[in-house]
Formats: sequence, structure tokens, C-alpha cells
Amino acid sequence: MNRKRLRTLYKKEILDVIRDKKTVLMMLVMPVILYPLIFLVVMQVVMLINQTQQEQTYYIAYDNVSDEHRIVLNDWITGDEDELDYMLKEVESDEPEKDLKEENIDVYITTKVTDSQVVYELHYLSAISDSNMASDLLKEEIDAYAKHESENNVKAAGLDVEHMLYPVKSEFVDTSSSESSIGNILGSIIPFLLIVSIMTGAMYAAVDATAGEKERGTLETLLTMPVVNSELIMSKFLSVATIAVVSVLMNVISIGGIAVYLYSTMSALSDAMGEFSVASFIPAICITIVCVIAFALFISAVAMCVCAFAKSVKEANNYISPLSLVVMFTSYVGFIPTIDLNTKTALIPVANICLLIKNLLIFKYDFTLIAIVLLSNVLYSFVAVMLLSKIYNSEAVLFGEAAGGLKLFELRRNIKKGSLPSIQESLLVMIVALLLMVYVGGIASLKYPVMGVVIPQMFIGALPVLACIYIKADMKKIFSLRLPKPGKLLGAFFLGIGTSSLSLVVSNILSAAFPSDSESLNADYLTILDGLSFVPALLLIALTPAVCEELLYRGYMFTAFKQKMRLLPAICVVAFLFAVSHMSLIKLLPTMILGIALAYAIHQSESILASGLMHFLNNGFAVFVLYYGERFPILNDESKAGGFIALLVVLAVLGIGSGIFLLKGKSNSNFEN
Amino acid sequence: MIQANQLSKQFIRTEKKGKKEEFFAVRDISFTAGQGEILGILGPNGAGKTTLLRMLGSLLEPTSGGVVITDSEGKRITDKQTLKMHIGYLSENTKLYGRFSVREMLTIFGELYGFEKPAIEERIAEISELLQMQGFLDNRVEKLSTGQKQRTSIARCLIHNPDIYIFDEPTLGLDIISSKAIIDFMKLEKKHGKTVLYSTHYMEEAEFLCDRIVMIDKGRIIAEGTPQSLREETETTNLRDTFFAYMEGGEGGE
Repeated sequence: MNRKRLRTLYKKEILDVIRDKKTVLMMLVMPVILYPLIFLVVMQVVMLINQTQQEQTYYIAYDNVSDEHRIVLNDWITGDEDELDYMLKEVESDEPEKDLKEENIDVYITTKVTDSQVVYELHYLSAISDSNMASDLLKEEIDAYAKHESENNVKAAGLDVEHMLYPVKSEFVDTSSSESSIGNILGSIIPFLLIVSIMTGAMYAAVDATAGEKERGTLETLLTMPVVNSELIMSKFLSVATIAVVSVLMNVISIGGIAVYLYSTMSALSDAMGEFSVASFIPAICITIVCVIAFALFISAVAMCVCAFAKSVKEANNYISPLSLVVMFTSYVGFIPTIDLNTKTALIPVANICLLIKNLLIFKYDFTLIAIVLLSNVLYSFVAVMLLSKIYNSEAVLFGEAAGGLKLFELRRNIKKGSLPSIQESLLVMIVALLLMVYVGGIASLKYPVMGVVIPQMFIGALPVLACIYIKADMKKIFSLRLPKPGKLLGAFFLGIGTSSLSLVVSNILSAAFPSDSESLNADYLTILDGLSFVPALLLIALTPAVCEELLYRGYMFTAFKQKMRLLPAICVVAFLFAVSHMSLIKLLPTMILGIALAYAIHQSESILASGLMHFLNNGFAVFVLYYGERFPILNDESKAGGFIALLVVLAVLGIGSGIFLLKGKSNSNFEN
Repeated sequence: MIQANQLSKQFIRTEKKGKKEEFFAVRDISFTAGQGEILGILGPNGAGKTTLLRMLGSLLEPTSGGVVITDSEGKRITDKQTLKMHIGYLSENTKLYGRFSVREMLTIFGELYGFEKPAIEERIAEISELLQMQGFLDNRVEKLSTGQKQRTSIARCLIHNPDIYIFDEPTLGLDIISSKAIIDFMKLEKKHGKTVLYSTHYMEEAEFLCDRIVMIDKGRIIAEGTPQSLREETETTNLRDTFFAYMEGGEGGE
């Protein structure tokens, strides 16, 4: 990549984008003018409505209420009328129910009278705001009157009011600082606004830089020059990200301005704001800006990936709308009080940024989680840029002569027999399987924890098979359905033992570093396996993934990636996706090590049985330890932990060494493409 | 000198009912165009002219075969990026950046070819004098007339002073004055010893302008030679009739 050319291209992209009126409108006018304007208008309208409701006169009618009870209540209400902004005025009504429905009155009162009690029933319309307000005000009055009466009764009996009526009381004492109270309120709305503004900024710039350039016919002009594809992609990506970041900064300034205005207005009006220091938000704002920039990079790359397929701006807008809906929908997570930032949610794109900002605004600085959110966003951006470079490199996408197209969306009768899945298809199948796993599996596990494992695995196994049936793929070839040579199977066995040992060593190190995560993982397993004996547990935890996950990752996805990538990157990418799909930070590295070994084994043996066996051994050992671990002192005695780790290291070296030795060498057929 | 060596390009096209089929847009095309020569590429719509020229301009990767340029010092160039340094490519698909001024755009292109700012400024002054562009150098491209845009496009091809020009239907849809400007430019560059590859549907234009002609149909060469030799071979009196004679008797590939 030539730096000078990259700089020129970046300059060209920025100039081109900022001279587009629509982008500038979205980037500047929306945050600087429209948001404050909307905010001020909404605030004024809400204040006006509140004021009007407070100062209004509400009309009340009585229906079959004795004079005694009517007069008593009326006297009470009118007694403090001068102190109130509103008025509750009695009116005559022959048909109060009808009058209420026709909104001639706001509330009508009936009574239920017993020897010791009068119950005033307030009839109102919850759908009508005036009626709602009137009933609330009236209830307050009646409750105050009831309190007054009961206190009088107690006093008349010569008893102590406090002792008789209020022997026990509770009071709220808010110990949180004014800053964190305000942060809590802002924590729901600010992440949402920021994410929406990044998405909007990135969206228009991405459409313009990709489909816009194609539509204007300047892309071909650019390609006549000695510009390398990576420079083209990088310059476009950086310019879109710049626009997204600038747009978010404009929003931060705009929201900041509104917040300052709001704060100064509120503090002028009341003392309730307490001591408040804007400076205390500075660290939170700084971390937020860094994370938001990382997020802007990610969203820019994703938006460009989507737009790259489009030939026109209109088409790109159609493609990007579902993406912006998904992003907006996910950013609502900030409004859900029960969802917190933890090692799992910190890995979910969009949601992690929302939850992090929410945490920062209430001064919860967990630096491990901040690092996870930041790194995961950088990593996702990297993956998205890699994907973008793959998409944007294709002549079909650049010249729009033959769209890449997913076979899964073609009519089956038009698909050739023996088709191979593409990388895009394999990613789509994986995402759908994971979504079904999260949602359907999640719902199922609420009632039956076991189903929480079985159902996701069914999806993971069935979806690639169905996708292959649809594209008329050669199942034997895709899933390596053949018997391995005994030597290779033995190699897989040794490699399995070696890799599992290495994973265990890594897991032990990580468990020592993150003990709480490790405990919660074990607790998850114990909940699932509660009441199951060893054999069903082995079938559930070891055999099912050894079949289903191997079909998806080492069968379907690895075949797709191997076609377009060199062997080592293909192995690593699939292993990474395999690890990420386990949705546990602590399991990420050990699972990735396992994934690499599994892919290597299937590639060398050309048989899914080899990787299946290794997967079974790995998971089977974990189940064995859960059930019979107590019988082996080396697994439990902390003083022997060092010896155990040393044993694992020896097993890892011997297993991996002998496994590779047996697996390497010429493959047993011309199975490769 | 530019040489096409057995160039082939395969695409996938969508047939009726959405069925996809692989086909060759260009198949086994070889020819050479020398210094100071204007080579015309003629053929009906869909013959593969644009695909061929895009491969020659290193915009498209050939499925097989390759392009070689021999520079004035006799050095053979096959690297894609270096090839582009020697080629000025113009087609109806190479549009200009409407939001930039002519000067801004030419400066950016000059920088992309690796030239320094002072050299670019000097070159812009030369070109604008040659193409009479001084009056609109600082105007935004989107505000220019069609003729001014065409001159700007030529200026874009000239900025790096290439040895070879590839023009894909450069006069298509232009009025007579704008067409003449381009034709005059080609003649001038020929005099300067540059090579011009040029595709067109206008037979009369090709007849008096081209030194040699390559006719292609269905991705393959069906005839090659000087306009005179082609006329003689088909016993016709003008290139239009020659073209029809080849089309009627030509054997297509795929």
C-alpha cells in the first residue's frame, strides 16, 4: 500500500463526500440544528401541557351521594383551594355516566357506606388525560382528608397519633451523587442517540462512497489509474469512518449543549439538583469517545460491505435499511434495566457500546469490560474490513456485470448439481444458526435446561445439511463423509488428546485470571446436567456437538473458506468463528486452539470422523471430570495443581507431535479442488 | 507498443428464467499495435470490444492470456500497476468527478500517478493550453457543457503523458465539433509517435482514421488488416460494406 496514494485517495473521498449536500445535511444540520430544536419544542410542549393540566378547572359530579358526604368532601376540597393551581368544581349532572363519556365532566363520584367507613368511588376515563388528571388530584385530596379524619379520630379517643397510626415508617435516602443520578437518566437515552447518529452518518457516507461512486461512473475512471484495490478500500473506509466520527462528535457537542442548557435551567428553577460537577464526567466522556470511534470504524465497514453489492444509490439504500433497523433495535438495549454489561454482553456488537456508555455515565469503570468492548469492536472492524476487501475486489461487484449472488436465494431448478457453498453463504448459515440458537434455545432452556443444548445443536447440524441439499451440493465432498485411514484416525486421536491438554492448560491459566467467569461457566454446566447420569450427559455434551458442530464448522464452512482462501488463513478464520460462536470470553482461546486442530485433522484425513472423534474426546473429558473428577486427587488437590499442569504440558507436546506426525503426509486421494 | 497475447475473459450471465451460464466474452485474441499507429477495434454490440479494451487497460483481469507493453527503451512491462502508468484510458463509462473543479480533479489524478504538485501544475498549464481549457479550469465539472467535459476527459488521460491511448467509443453521442476535437487529438498523438487503440461504431470515422483494423464478433477476431486490405479481401468499396460482408460470413466462437 502506497501511503502517498492512500493520502490522496482519502483526500479525494472526503472532498467528494462533504460536497454532497445530503451527507452534510445529515452530519451537521441534524445534530446542530434539528436535535436541539426538536428537544426544545418537545420540552416546551410537555411543559405547556403539564402547566395547563395543573392550572385547569376539572368538573366533578356526584351520583347518589348523600348531602352529608358530598358537603364534607366539597368543604375539604374548597378549604385549601387558594393554595392550589387547579380547581375541582362541582357541577350538577342527571346522567353522570353519559356526561363523563361525552366529556362534559371529568369525574363522577359514588359512595359505598358502611357503619365504620365511607368509600368514595371515583369514576373516570383512563384514556382521557383530563379525566385521568382529575381522578389523580381528587384521590390525593380524599387520601389527605382520610388521613386528617383518622388522625382526628385517634386524637378524640385520647391516643397518641404517631404511636397508633404510624408505629412503623419508611423513608428513602438517596446516597447516590447528583452526577450518578443524572448519569442514570442520561444512560438510557445517550447511547441510543449516539448509535443512531453514527449509523446515520456512516450510512450516507457509505452509500455515497460505494454505490454512489459506481452510479456516477467515476469508479471505472479511478480504476484506470495505478491504484491498488487495498488503497481504494482503505481510503473509502477511512473517509466513511471519519464522517461517522465527525457526525458523532457533532452529536456529542449538541447533546452536551442541551444537557448544559437543561442543567442551568433546572438549577435556576430549583435546588433539587444538588451539588453537581460536570468535570466528574470527563473520564467517562473520554472513554466513550474512544469506544465510539472503534464502533464507528466497525459500523462503517459493515455499512460499506452491504452497500458494495449495490449498483445504484437506490439499491444501496434498500440494502442498508434493514441494517440500520437492526442497529437501532439493538441499541434499545440501553433502555432495558435488567441487561447489564458483562463478559458475554461485552462481545455483542452495538449492545456492548450501549451498555458500556450506560455504565460509564453512572461511574462504573470496569477496565476489563472496557478493554473487551474496545478490543471486540476493533476486531469486528478488522473482520468487516477484510470482508469488504474480499467483496470490493470482485470484478462482478466493481463492474456489476455478473452479481456474486447467493445460491441460497436462487431458484433451486437453476442451481447446478455439485455446487459448492460460498463464504457469504456459509456465514449467513452460521448467523442464522446462531440466532436460532440464542432465541429458540434460550426460550427452550428456560423450561428444560437440556433442551437449551439439544435444540441449538439441532439447528447447527441441520441448517448446513439443508443448505447443501438446496444448492445440490455433493454431500460426501462438503462434509468429508468417508472413512479415514486407520493411521490418520490414530493421528487424530493423539492430536485430540494433545490439543485438549493444551486447551486445558490455557483454560487453567485463564481461570486463574478470571475466576468469576470460570465459576459461572461451571455453574451453567451443572444447571444443564442437573439430574442426568453420566451416559446421557456424555451424549448431550460430547456426542451431539461432535456431530452437529463438525457438520457446520469443519464440514460446510471450512469447505467454503478453503475454496477462496489459502489453507492456513481458512483454518484460522473458521476456528475463530467456531470460538466466537461459543459466546464466552474465557473459552475463546481454548476453543480456537481446538478449532485449529479440528480443521487440520479433517483436512489431512479428509474424513469428518477424525475431527468428530477429537471433538468428542475433548468434550467427553470435560463431562468425565464433572462426574468422576472427585475420585482423582490430582484434579482437586490445589497443592498438586502444578504437577497436573506439567502432566498436561507433556501430554500436549506428545499428543500434538505424534498426531501431526501421523496426520501429515500425502492425502489419501485427490479430494482437493 | 502494446501486445495482446491470447486474451480470454469468461463471465457468468443470467439467462431467461434466472438460469446462470458461463460464457466467453473474449476468446484467444492476439494482436500488436505499434508506435505511431491507430488501431481500430470494430464489432457489433456485445462482440466483446469493451471487455477486450478493459483487459488491455488492466481494469479487468483476463481469465487467460496477458498484455505486454514495450516502452521506448525496449523494456517489456507486464505488471498491472506499471502498465497503467503507460496507458491513458477513456470510455463512455469513465466519468468525471462532478463535485470537483477541473483543476482539483486533474491534480488528484496527477498525484495518483505519483507526480509532485509543481510538476502537475506545469502539466495542467500545458494541457489546458493544448485543449483550450483555461476558461473553465476552476469551474466545477458538473457545471461544464458536454464539449468541455469531453475535453476534461481527454485532459485526464493526458495528465501522466502516456505512450498508449485506449479509447472505447470516444465520440459516441457527441456533436460534430466535440467529435472533431477528439479525432484531431488522436491524429496529433499519432504524429507524436503514440499508439492509439480505438473502438467505434462509426465506420466512416474508422476508415479514414485507422492504420489497421481488428474486427471482432462473439469474442473472437474475424478479420484483421489495413482498411484497404480488408476492402480488397471482401471486394467492397467502403468499410461499412466490408463490415457487413464479414458479419454475414463471419464465424463466431461461443
